[in-house]
Amino acid sequence: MSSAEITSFKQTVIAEAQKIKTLKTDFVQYKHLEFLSKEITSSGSMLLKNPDKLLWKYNTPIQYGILFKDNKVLVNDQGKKNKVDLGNNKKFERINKMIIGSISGDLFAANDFTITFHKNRNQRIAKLSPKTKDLSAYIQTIILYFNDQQLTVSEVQLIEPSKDYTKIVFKNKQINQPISDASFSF
Amino acid sequence: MRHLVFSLLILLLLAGCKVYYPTSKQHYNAIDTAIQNPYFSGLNEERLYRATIHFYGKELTGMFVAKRISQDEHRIVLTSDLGNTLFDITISKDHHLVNYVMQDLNRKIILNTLIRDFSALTKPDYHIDYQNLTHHQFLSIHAGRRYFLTIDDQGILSSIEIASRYKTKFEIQFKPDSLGKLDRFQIKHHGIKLNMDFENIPF
Repeated sequence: MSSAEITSFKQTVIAEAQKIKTLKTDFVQYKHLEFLSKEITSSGSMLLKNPDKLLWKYNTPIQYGILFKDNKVLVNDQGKKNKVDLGNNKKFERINKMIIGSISGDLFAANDFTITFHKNRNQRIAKLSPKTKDLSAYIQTIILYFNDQQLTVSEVQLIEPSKDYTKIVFKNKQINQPISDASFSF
Repeated sequence: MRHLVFSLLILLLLAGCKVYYPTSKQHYNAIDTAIQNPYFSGLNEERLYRATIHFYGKELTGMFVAKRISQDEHRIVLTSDLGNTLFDITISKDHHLVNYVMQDLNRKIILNTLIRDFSALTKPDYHIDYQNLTHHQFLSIHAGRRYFLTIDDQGILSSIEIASRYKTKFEIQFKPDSLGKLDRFQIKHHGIKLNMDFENIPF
C-alpha cells in the first residue's frame, strides 16, 4: 500500500470501529500446530456491545464461554460457571482481550504495536507486532485480514513465538443490530 | 554407650522408613518380563483431549495432544481454549526438549513435574521386576522410581502408580472405551494439590 492508501485505510477503519455499538458474528477457529497433520477446529459466536460487554462462546467441540462484563470475567465451562476476578488476573484479561478484541479494530488505534500494511488482489492486510517484551512473549505477530472492501476484520491470525498460530475466520457479521443486555449472561 | 544410642537411633529411623507398597509386600514375587503401555503408542496417531487442571484451588482448562512422533519421542502440547499454546514439550527416553512454554509456567519445578507425569503416561513399555498376582499388579523399578502397574480383569492396563522408595507420588488412571482407545484419563498427585483430568473430544 502507498502511504496515502495506508493513511486513508487506517482512518476509515478506526472511524468504522468507533461507529460500532454492537457486533454479532459467528466464527471458526483453527489452531495450527506444526507437528499435527490437521488443525484443531472449534466454532462459535461472538457478541460485542460497546463499551464494556463482550461474550465469546464456543459451541463445538465443547461448550465453553468467556464473558467480559462490568470489569469481571466469567467463564462457563460446559455448564460449570467460574468468576474470574480481574484484580488477580490482569495478564489473563490482557491476553484474552487482545485475542478477542482484534476484531473490532481497537488494536489499530492502540499504541502497543508496530503496524505494517499490505494488500493482495482481494484483501487488505495489517500486520501488528507488539512493541513491548511483555506482549511479544505471548504473541509474535497479529495479522488482520479485511476482505474485499470491508472495513471490519474478516480474519485474524495470531502467530506465537513458536510460529504455531491460531486463525479465526468470522462470518455472518452483523453490525449495530440491537442486542439486549440479557444476552451477556450464561 | 554413646555408640549404642546412635546405633539404636539409626535402627529406629530405618525401621520407620518402610519401603512403599500399595498392598502387602508379601504378595510380590520376582519376575523378569515386560508390559506394553497401549496408550499413545501408535506412531503418528493423533487424539485430542479436553484438559481440566486443578492446582491448589485454581482451575485451568484447555486442549491437550500427546503424539508419538518417532520410535523414541512423544510431543506433548497444551493450549488454552482460546488457542494460545501453554506448553509444548518433546519427551524421549533420555532427554527432553521444551519447544515452548508460556512465561507464567516457565518454572523448573512446574516443567519437571510435567515432564515426569507425561513421561510415565507415554512410556511405551515397562520392564517388570516383581508381580503381585493377587491384585493383578506389577512393579517396575527404574531410575530410582517405582511404577506399580495394575491390569484389570480384561487384561487392560488400568492404572500406573508412581512412587519413590518410601512414598507414593502420583497415579495415572486410564478409562479406555470398548475398542481399547483411551477415552479418559486422570493424573492425581498425592504430595501436591495437583489433579489433571482428560477427556477425548472429536478432532
